[in-house]
Amino acid sequence: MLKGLLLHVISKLQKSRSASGAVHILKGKRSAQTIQDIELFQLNQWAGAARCWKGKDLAALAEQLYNEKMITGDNRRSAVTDKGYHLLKQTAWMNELYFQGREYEWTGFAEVFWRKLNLTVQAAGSLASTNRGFLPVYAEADERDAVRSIIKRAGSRRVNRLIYEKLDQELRQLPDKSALIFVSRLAGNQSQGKTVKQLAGSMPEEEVYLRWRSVIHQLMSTEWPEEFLPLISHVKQQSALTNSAVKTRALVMNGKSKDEIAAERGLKSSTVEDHLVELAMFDSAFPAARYIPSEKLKELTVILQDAGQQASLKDIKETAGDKGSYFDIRLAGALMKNRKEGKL
Amino acid sequence: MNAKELLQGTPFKEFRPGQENVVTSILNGRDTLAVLPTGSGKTLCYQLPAGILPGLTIVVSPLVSLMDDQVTQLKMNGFQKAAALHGNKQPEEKKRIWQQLSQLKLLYVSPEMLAVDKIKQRLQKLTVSLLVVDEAHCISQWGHEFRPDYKSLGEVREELGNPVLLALTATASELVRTDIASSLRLHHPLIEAHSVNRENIFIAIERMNEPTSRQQHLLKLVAASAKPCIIYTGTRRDAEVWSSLYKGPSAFYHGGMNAEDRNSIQGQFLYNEIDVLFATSAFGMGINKPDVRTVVHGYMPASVEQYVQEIGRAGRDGNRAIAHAVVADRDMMLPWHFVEMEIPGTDWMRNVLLPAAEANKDLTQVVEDAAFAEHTASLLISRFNENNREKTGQEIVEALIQQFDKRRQERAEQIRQITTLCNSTSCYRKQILSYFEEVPYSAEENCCSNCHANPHIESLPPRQRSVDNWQELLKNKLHIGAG
Ligand SMILES: [Zn+2]
Repeated sequence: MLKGLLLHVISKLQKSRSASGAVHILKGKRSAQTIQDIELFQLNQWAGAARCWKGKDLAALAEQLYNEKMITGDNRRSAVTDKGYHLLKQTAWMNELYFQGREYEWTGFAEVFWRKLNLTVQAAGSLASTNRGFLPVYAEADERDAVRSIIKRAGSRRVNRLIYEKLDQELRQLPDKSALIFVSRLAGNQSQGKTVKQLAGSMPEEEVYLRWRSVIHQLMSTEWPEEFLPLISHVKQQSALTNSAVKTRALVMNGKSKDEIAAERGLKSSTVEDHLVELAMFDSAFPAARYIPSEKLKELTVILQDAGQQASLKDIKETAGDKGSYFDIRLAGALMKNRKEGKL
Repeated sequence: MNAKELLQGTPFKEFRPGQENVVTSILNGRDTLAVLPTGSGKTLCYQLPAGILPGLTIVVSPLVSLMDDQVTQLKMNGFQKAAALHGNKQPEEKKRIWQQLSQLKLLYVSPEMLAVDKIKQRLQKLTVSLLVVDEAHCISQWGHEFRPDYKSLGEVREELGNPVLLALTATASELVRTDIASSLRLHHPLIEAHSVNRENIFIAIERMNEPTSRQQHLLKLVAASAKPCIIYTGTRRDAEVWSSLYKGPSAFYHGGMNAEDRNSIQGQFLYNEIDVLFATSAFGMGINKPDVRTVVHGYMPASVEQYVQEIGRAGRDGNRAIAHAVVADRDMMLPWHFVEMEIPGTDWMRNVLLPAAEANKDLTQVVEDAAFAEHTASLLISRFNENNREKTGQEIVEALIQQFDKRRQERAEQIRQITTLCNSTSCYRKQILSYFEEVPYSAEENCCSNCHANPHIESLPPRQRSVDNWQELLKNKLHIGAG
C-alpha cells in the first residue's frame, strides 16, 4: 500500500535523494534534512502523508520497489525506471486530490480531527435513535471531552441536524467516489465504519486511503459552525505564532543557532528564547535537538512530569539544579505540550 | 436486604443465575470464587457491591484493551465513579485519575500497575473494601493463560489491608480452582460454580487426513453454516487469507491490526453488518454478542480450556448453536509453535540473554528482537529490573530456565489432553465434563458428532447491507428520516 505515492515522491526527488529520503518525507521525520527537502522539491502536499504507518513497513515498501525494478540506485540516490514510470501513469488520480500533507498530516491535526468528528457523528446518530447506547470509537480523553462539550452545549438533536447539513453540503462538492468512501468510514447509529482494507474492492487500498484523508483535509479547511469549534480547536493553535516569531522561524529552519539568530535579527537573547519556546510549543517541525541536547531534554521531561502542571517554573528550576537553565526548562515544557497535542 | 432491594436504582431488572449468591456472599464479607460463563453478567457481581460498600473496589484485569470499554459501559449504565488505570494511559490522564482517586468507587487496574510500589502505597492510604480478580484462571499454572504477574496478587491483597476478595473466571477445572484459592489466600470461600456444559451447543469435531484440502473444506463448511459465524484460525495470516478467499461478505480480526480497525470490525460484527468473521484467539474476550450461531475452529485449539471458552461464544442467547472443529494430525505443531513464542528456549536464555544482560545492553531491544509473546517479554524484563541488585544475571537466568521448563511440561500435557479429545470416538461432551471434573453425561439429543447427526440450525436473517449511495448512507448513520 502507498506504493504509487512512494514512487511519486521518489520521482519528485529528481534522482538526488535515496528512497529512504522519500520515506522520511512521507513519514514526516523531524530532521533538518527532511524539512529542507520538502521545501526544495516542493513536496508540501505529501509531507507526513504516511505518518501513522510503521517506518518498518515503509522501508519494506521501498525495498519492494527496488526488487520489482521500479526504481534503481544506491543508498544515496534513487531513480524511477521506465517500468516505474509506467506504474506512475496509473496514479494520475492523485493529482486531483485535495491533499494537504504538510498542513494536516505532518502536524497530526488530521488524525485528531478525524477521531473527534467520527465520535461526534456516532454519538449524534446513536442518540437520535431509540437504542441510545453504543460502542464508542477510539478517541483520547481530551478528544472525548471535546465531543461531550459539543453535545452538551448544543444538544444532541441540534448537533445531529447541523452535522448532517454541514457534511451533506461539503460532500456534494466532491466526487461521489470520495464522498462514499468518507461516509463509509464513519461510525453511526447501529453501524461501525468500514476499514480502508474493506473498502478497497474496485479501487486500490492506496486510493481509498488518500481519498478518505483528502476529504478530511477538505473539511478541515472550511468554516465550521460555532457549535463545532471544539472539533478544530487543536488546529488553531499553530497560527498563534507572533509575527516576530515567524521571522525567527525562518532562521531556525535555515539551521541557525540561538546566538546567530540574535545577532542576525539584532534582538536580545531573551527575546529569541521566547520565540524558540513559542515555536517549540506550536510548530511540530521545530528542530528541537539543535537547541537542547536530547539527554538533557530527557532528564528535564522526567522532572517536569513528576512536578505536575501546577508547579511553578521557580520550583522546577530548584529541583533541576544545574541540570538545566530556565530556558532549557521552558523549552522542555513547550516540547512536552507540543508532543502531546501532535501525538498520534 | 433482599434481592429486589439490591437492584433498586440500578439498570438491572433481575439477577441471572449465580449473581445473587455471589453478591450476597460479598456483602456478607465472605471471599468468593465465581466460575461463571462469559456473558453471564460478571460485571454486575462487583458493580453492585461496589456501589453499596464503603470505600473503593479494585478490579484487577489482564485485558487492558477492554478496561476503557468497561468503564464506558459502566458510565453508560449510570455508574459514574469508575476509572481505569493501565500502562497505555497518557500521563495526563493518569494524573487526572490520581487526583480524583478518593472519590472513585470502582477502579480497574492492570496487574503490572499493582506491582509498582508507588501505586500500591497510594492505594494503601484508601479504604479498599473489595478486591476483584478477573480472569482469575490466569493465576494458575494449570490455566491456559498463565500470567506470572498474577502470582503476587495474594500478597498485594494483604498489603491492601485484606479486603474481601472476589475471584472471577469463565472456566476452571478443580485443579485450577484449588490453585486460585491458595494463591489468593481465600478464607473459606463460597464457590459459586456453574457447569461448563452448554447444552444448546452441538459439538462437532472432524478429523482430516489430508490437511492440504483443509482450506477448501473449511470455506465450504462456513458457507453452509448458520450465521453469525466466528472462525478461529491458527494464525493471523490464515485469518486474512481465508477471509479473502471466502465467497461472500466477511472480515478478519487479529492482534496485528491497529486499534481503530479492530474496534471497527468488532462493532460491525456486533451490529450484524458482517456475519462471517475469521479471527485469531485475540477475538472474543469480553465481547458479549448473544446470537452467534456457529463457532468454527480451523485448527486444533491449544488446550481444552481454550476450546471450551471459545466455543462458549456461540449461542449465549440460549438458542441452538453449533461448534465445529476441523483438525489434522499435523495441527499439533501449531500449539507447539505458540509454546516456543511464549516460552524462551534454554539456549537463547544462556547464549543470548545472559551475555546481553552481563554487558549491560538494552534488554528491551534484545527481547523485542526475539519476538516473544508480549507478557513473556515483560516478565523477562521485569525479572531483571527487580532483581538486579540482589542476584547475579546467571542466577536470574537459571531460575527462569527452571520456571520455563516446568511451564513447557505443563503445556505439553495440555496439548496431549486436547489431542486426546479431538481423536476420541466417544462422546465429546462427556469427556469435556470429566476434564473439568464434573459429572460426565451425554445429551439425549443434539449432543455431539460422536453421538448424533449434525442438527440443522437457522441463520439469523442478514441485515440489509451495502448502500452505495453516500447520501442515503449518511442519513442512515445519523438516523435521519428513519423509517
Ligand atoms: Zn455426545
